[in-house]
Amino acid sequence: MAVVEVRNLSVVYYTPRGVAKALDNVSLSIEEQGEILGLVGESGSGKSTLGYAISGLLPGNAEIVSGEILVNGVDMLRAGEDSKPRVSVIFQDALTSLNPVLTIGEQIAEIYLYVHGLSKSEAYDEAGRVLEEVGLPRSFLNRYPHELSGGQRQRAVIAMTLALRPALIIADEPTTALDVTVQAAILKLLYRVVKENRLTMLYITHDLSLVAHICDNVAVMYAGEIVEYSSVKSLFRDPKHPYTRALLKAIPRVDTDVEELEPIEGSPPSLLEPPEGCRFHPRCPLAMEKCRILRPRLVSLVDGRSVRCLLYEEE
Amino acid sequence: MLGRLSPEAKETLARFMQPSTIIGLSILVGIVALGVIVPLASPYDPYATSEDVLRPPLSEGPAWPYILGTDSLGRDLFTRIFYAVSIDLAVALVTVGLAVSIGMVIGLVSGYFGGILDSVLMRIMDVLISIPGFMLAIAVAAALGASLFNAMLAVAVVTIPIYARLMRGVTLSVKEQLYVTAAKEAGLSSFRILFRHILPNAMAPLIVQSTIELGNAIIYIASLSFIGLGAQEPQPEWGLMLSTGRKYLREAWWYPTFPGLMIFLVVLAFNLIGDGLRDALDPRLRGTLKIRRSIVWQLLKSET
Repeated sequence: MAVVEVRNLSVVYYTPRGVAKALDNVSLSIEEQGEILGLVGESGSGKSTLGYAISGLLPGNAEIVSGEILVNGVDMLRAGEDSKPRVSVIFQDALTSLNPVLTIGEQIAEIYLYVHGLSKSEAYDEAGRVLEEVGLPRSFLNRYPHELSGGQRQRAVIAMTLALRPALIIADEPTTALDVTVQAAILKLLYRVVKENRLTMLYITHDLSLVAHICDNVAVMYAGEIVEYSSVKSLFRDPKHPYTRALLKAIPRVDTDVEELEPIEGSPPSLLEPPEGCRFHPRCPLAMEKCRILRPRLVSLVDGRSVRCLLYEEE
Repeated sequence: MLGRLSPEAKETLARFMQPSTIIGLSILVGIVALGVIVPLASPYDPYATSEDVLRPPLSEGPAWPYILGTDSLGRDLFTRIFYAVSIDLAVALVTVGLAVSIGMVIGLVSGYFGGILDSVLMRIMDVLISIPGFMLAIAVAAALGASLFNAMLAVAVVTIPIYARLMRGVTLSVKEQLYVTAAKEAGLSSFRILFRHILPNAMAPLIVQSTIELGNAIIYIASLSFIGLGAQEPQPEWGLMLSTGRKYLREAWWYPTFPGLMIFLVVLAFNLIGDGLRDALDPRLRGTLKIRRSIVWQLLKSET
């Protein structure tokens, strides 16, 4: 049984200017425990919406029009609050994820006390242990969030997530607010704790280079659709979709003497009126006449890869 | 004791010690201290009448001099005024305490759960706030009899909406914080989220408001006593003393003046403390106080 299975999910936002289709028939799955799936896309591609839909945190003006979300086989849209598997979200801003008036210890121990039903001394013991696991000394139990640095706060948030032992962690750009050296440390930490504890993580980011470091598989999103799904290795070795290729060309690399970075021309389409045919065709260097009219399907290729592009449909 | 405090705690303490808080606190502490000492030390019984009627301040008495003079029944005003401290302050504390605790819970629940519950509770608050406090107190006094306790109840009831509305507003903003979302996601109970995660983060404005309302409560209760619906003779209470004393304003100015002065000082003290707390607790000002002060210093220096 897949850990996460999203089937034909469509989500719309009601905005003053009209109905925006943030997700259009998105299907996605994370097959195994311990897997890290990267969800990549630019702003407005629907990557965060997908994360929020799975965690049940969609804002009030959003509506799930159709589709199913299963976590550990439980229907997240219909199951009662008590029977749902826990989904934990790590946000970009660690400071606001921590309660400013409680110590780190109180906040972590609370989870052990009230969610796992441990006794008070056991709870603080476990809280200390989990802090050490994320690389913070036990003495941080008595610290308040404002006494911690940005990286330490994100570590504390990860410790809370570990304490919860969720079925799925959704990390929404957790390192974006940190500087690069701390970013690397937090990424390593996330990778280690997820693999060691056999947790499952959906890692949402706009940064393909981060994906290369930590993810097993990647789904690339564009304008509310998944345009390519692949393992990280094959994605970087041989990107299939023209959008993915363009994204990779836009990343500076140290190992090759690339002449110049190539930006992707144009800007992402409006979700209020997405273009006809393939949504990427106005910006696609390989666009053909039929791309304007035909909506490409998600085509399965070898080794579990799939791509949404007419170039591959005729094969 | 101060030596044990961490630097952060000292900094917090320094933030709270603003000039207005210090002045307000000193007035209040002075009055409370006298309110404790005078009833214990004074040779005069606040209830016992004597033949020394309407003596001016500092005139000779049988034991101590009559420091603030005597009233129309020959009772020592000094003793009575400070006897009234415990009554007036206790009344204010109980009234505000009652209103705050009820209003706080209503506001929390209303803001957190929202929906129909919110609408119903807030409409009830609208009804309450539309009733003039004095009218309700008069109605309560008419129905249950005029007494200090009934006056307290009436004042508490009409001030509940102040706290409920304030709390609802703060709760609405605090509940959108990520740590509340995280607590919900973790599956903590609503009770826990409300009282452990939201309440402590929403307390600051409530503390400021209730400090200022303590002053208002004193005025409220004194006014009700003044028109005869609160404390009853021979209870020493400032509003009541002011009310009976005003008839003697021409021949004995001290009789209404000193109780009135006490009301003035206590209300001033609570307002000063409330203002100071507002500055200290306002998160937007956090960390800027020192800078503000140093700017003031520099300005002062450059003037001279």
